[in-house]
Amino acid sequence: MKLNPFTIMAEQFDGTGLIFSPETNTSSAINKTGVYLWRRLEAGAGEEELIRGLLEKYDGLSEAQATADVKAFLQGLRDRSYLSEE
Amino acid sequence: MNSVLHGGPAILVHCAVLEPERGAVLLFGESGMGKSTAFKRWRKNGGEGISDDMALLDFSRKDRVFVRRMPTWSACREGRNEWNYPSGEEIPLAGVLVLGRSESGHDEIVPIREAQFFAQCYRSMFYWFIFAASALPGVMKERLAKTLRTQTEIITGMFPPRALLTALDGNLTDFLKELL
Repeated sequence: MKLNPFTIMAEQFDGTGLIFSPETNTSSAINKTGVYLWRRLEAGAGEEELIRGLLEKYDGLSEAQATADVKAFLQGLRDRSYLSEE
Repeated sequence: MNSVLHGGPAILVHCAVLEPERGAVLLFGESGMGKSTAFKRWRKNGGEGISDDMALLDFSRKDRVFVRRMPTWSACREGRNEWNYPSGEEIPLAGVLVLGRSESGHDEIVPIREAQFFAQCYRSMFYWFIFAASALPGVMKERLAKTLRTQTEIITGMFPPRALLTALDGNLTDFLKELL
């Protein structure tokens, strides 16, 4: 699992982010949690690490919810070609 | 592509180039967004410039970026053979504007979000590599991406994030000359 090297994420002043792919000329807005997950992916984290990261970051979040959120986020990235399985 | 992958300091960029007296102003925008139209309107009232689709940016100097003109796509298509292209001449980069459409009926320059500015500049830097880039092996892709991002950061760091929203008529040359 690897981020598409051409795709960029710009963090905005309010902590949300904008992902942009110059290949497809598409952009996607992400929330603060998305920015956090993106940064972890940039650092080489895998799915399990992302889930653990969310559990550490948000008190009271269930493992099931964290897993579902991470899977949905990753699938969204894959659907837009921001992420590959290389 | 080969030059960029091996650290060459020049890159072909998708843009129109206006040439007010103090340098070159790049207009970044997608195909169909109005680069050629804005360029024609700029020239119609005496504005200087010969590139409406691409330019070579030279990052070889530490403190400044220079622009080298490339042949105008419209001129090639329309067969204006009397034009010549002094592409070797360096022009200092004096501005960058992202193109958009005006809804007010007149030309205007407006501030835009930094992320939007960066994305459009990055897209324009990437534009001529789109097809070749997908065929590169992973390491080369990362090298190309790093170069393009670095050069985009240089460009976007030099100028405020602004868009030129153009109308269909009016004197764009006078409008821009006051601002550029």
